[in-house]
Amino acid sequence: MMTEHKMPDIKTYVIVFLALVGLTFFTVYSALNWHVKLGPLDLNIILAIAIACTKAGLVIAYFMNLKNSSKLAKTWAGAGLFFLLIMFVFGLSDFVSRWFTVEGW
Amino acid sequence: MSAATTSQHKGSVNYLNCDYSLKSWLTTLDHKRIGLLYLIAILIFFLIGGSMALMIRYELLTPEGDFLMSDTYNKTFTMHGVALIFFFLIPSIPAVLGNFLLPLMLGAKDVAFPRLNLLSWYVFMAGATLGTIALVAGGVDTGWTFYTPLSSTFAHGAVVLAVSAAFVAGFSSIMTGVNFIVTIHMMRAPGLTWSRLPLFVWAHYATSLIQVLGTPVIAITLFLVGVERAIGIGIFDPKLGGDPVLFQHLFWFYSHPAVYIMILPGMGVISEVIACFARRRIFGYDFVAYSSLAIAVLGFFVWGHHMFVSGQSMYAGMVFSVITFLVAIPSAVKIFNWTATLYKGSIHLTAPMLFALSFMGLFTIGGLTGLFLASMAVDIHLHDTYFVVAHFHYVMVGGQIIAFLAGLHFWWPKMTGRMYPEGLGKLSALVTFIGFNLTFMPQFILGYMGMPRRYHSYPEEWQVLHVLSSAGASVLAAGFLLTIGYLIWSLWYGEKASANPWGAKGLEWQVPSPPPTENFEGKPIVKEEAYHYSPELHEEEKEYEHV
Amino acid sequence: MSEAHVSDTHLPVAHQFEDEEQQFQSYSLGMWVFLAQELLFFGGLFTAFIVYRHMYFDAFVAAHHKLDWKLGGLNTLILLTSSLTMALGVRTAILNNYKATIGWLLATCALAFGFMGVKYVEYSSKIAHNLWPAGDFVFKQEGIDAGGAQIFYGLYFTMTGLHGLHVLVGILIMGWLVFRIYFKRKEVVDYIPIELTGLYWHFVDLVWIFLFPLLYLIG
Repeated sequence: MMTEHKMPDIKTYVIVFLALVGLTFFTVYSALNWHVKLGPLDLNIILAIAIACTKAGLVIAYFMNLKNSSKLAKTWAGAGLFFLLIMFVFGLSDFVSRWFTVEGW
Repeated sequence: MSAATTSQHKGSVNYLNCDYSLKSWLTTLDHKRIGLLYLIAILIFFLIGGSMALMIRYELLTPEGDFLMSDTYNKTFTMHGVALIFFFLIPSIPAVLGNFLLPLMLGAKDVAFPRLNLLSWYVFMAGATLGTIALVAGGVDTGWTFYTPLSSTFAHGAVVLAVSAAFVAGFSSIMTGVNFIVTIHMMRAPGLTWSRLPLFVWAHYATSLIQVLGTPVIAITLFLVGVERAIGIGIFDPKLGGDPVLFQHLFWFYSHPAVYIMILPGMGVISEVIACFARRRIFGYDFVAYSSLAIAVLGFFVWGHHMFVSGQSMYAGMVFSVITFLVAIPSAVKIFNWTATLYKGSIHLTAPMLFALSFMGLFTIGGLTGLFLASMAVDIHLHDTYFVVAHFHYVMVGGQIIAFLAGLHFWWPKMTGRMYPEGLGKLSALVTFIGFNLTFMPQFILGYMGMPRRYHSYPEEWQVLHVLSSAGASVLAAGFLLTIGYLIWSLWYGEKASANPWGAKGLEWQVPSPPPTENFEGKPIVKEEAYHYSPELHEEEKEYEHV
Repeated sequence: MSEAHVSDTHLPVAHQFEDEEQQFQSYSLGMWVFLAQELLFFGGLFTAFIVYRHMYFDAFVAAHHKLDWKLGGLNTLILLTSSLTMALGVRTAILNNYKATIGWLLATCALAFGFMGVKYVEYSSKIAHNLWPAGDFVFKQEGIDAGGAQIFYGLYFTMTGLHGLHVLVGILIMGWLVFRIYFKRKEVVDYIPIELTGLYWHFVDLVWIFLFPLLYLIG
C-alpha cells in the first residue's frame, strides 16, 4: 500500500517564512516605539502575545503541516494547548485573587 | 526471570519458553515480557516501601519516639512515599497488566512502539537506581511532596538525587502513556470499535492522558527544585521573594491527576473481573467508559484542594472545592454501575472476585471521605492529620493495590500458564481485607481527634488506636506476603491453565495460556460487543474469527 | 497551496503494523502526543513566568532592559530560517531526493550552531555583568526590588537554558540522520524519522517565538 502525502509547495513555505520574518520585525518595532496603555491594561503585551500566537499558528499549520495531518493529531495538539491554558488560568486565579477583600468579611 | 521456567508444555512455543537466555529478556521487544520485567522491578520496590510502612507502624506502637529517632522517622516515611508512589503504584497496573494485556485485548501483535516500550523500562530502572542511591546516600526527610523551601534550602540528605529519581522515572511513565495512546488509537483489530472496547482499555486511555499531559509538569517542577538546591538559582526562594505556593501549584497540577493514575487502571481491572464473575455485561457500559475520561479530565481542575491552608487565595479555594465535589459524580457512576451489574448476576466468588468486591467497599469509603476533605471548612480541621492519611490509603491501597491483586489473580493463568491455588487466594483476599481495615479505620478516628501526620510521638490516650492500627499493618503484611508466596509457588507447582479457565470474554482469552510471541495466529475480527456473557461459568468455544 | 504527493516507493513495515499507512499514522500521532507533553513541560516555566511577572512587574520590566533585544532578534531570525530549511529538508526526503535532504539538514545544523554561538555571547556578557542569578548577583536600581530581578534572571537562564538544551539535542539528532542517510542509504530514504525530527525542530522554534517577546521585548 502506498502512502499519500499532502504537503505545502515551496512557494507556500517561502511566503510563510517571509510572513514570520515580517511579524518579527513588527513585534520588535511595536515593543520599542509604542507605549499604549488602556487604563490598567498594557496593550503592548497583548499585541506582543497576539503576534507570537499568529507566528506560532503559521509554524504549526504550514511548517509542521498540521493542516494536512490526521484529526487525531489535531485533537492531541489541541489537548496539549487546552491543558496548558487550564494551568495558566487556574494557577493565576490564585495569585490575582489572593488580596481581594470583601466588605464585612 | 523464574517465570521463564514455568511452561514445560511440549510442542507449544510461547513467549516464555521461546528463549531462556538472560539476554533475550533484557533485549526483548515483546510487550508481554516487558510487562513481566516491570512486575519484577516493582515487586522489589513494593517490598522496600512496604517494610518502611511496617517500621513506621512499629514506631507508632508507643507514644514516645523510641524505635526510630525523629530524623530517621522522617526519612522512613519519605522513602515509603517515594518508593511506593513513584516506583510502585504509578507503574503497577499500567506498566505490568496494561503492557501485557492491551495488545492482546486489541487483537494486535504488539504495542505501537515496542522499542520505546523497552526503553521505558530501562529509564524506569535508571530512575529506580537513582532512588536507591538516594536512599543509601543518607535518605531524604522532606516527605514525598518535596515542598519548598524545606526541600530546596533546609533539608538534609540526598534531595537532589531523590528528585532526579522521580524526574527520570517520570519520563518512563510518559513513554508508556504515549505508547498506549497510539496503540489504542491505531492498533485495534477490525470490528473492535470504541463502543466494543473492554473497559480496561478505556481506563488505560484515560490514565495515559494524565501520564502524558501531567507528568511533564512535575518533571519541570522537580527540575527547578534540583537546580535551586544544587546550583542556587532560586525560583521558589522566599529570600528573593519567590513564592513556595507556586511550587505547590505546579507540584499538584501533576500530583493530583497522578492520584487518578493510581486509581483509574484499578477501576478498569474491576470492570473486567466483575463482568466475568457476575456473568453479565457491565451495566451502563457507556457511562462507565466515559466516566473514566471524566475523572481524568476533571482531575486537572481540582489541584488547589491540596492548598486550602497553604496561603492560597480563599476565592480560588472555593472554585477548587466546588469542582472537587464534581469528581464524586463519575466515581459514583462506576460504583453504582458495578453494583447494578451484580444485581441478578450469576455471581461466582472466586479469589479475583473477592478482591474486586473488597475494592468496591474500600474505594467507596476512600472516595466519600475525600468529600469531607474537599469542604474547605472541614479541611481546616482535618488537613495534615491521620484522616488524610487514612483517606488516601483507602484509595491507593484499598483501591489500586487490591485491584492490582484482583487483576494479577484474574490474568495469572494467562500470564504464566499456571493456576494459583484458589483456596489460598480466597484466604489472602480475606486476610488483606481484614488487615487493611484494621490498619486504616482507626486512623480516621485518630485524624478526627487531631493526630497530625508525620509525627513519631503522640499523647498517651491515642495509644489504643495506634496499637490497633499497627496490629492491622502486620495482618495486612502477612496477607501480602502470603499472596507473593503462593503466586511464586504456583509458577512451578500450580495446575496448568487452559486458554480460558474463567470462560471469560475478550480477545486475550482466545489465545493459548501463555500466549505465543506473536499473540494471534492471523488477524482476529471482532463481531460482538464486550462482555457478551451467558450465565454459566464454563469454557466457551472460540467466538472470534481469524483470517 | 497544498499539493498531494503519492510516494511510489515502499518503506519497510515493522512487524507490529499491518501496512505503511498504519505505520506512518502511528508515528505521526505518537510525535504529536509527545509534543503535547513537551508543551506542558515548558508550560510549567511559562506559568512561573506569568505569576512572577504579575507579582514583580516593575522589577521584571527593569531587568529585561539589560537583555540585548538585538541579539535576541538575531536569534529569532536564525531559528525561523532554520525552520524553513528543515521544512524543505522534510519535503525533499518525502520526494526521495536524498542529496538535497542532506544539504538542508546540514544547513539547519549550521543555523542551530549559529544560534548557540549567539547564546554563548549573550550568556558570557550577562555573567560578566554579575547577572548570573546563582552567583554574586548585583542589580541596583532606584525603587526596584533586586529579588524580583534575580528571579527574572533565574527564569531567563532556566528557560533559555532548557530551550538551548533542546537545540543541542536537535543538532545531535540531525547529525545522526545525516550520518544514517549518507552511509547507510538503501534504495529509499526512510522519511519518517526526518519528518518526526522536523516536527521536533519546529516545536523548538515555537518555544523561542514566545520566549523572545516575553524575555527581550516586554519583560
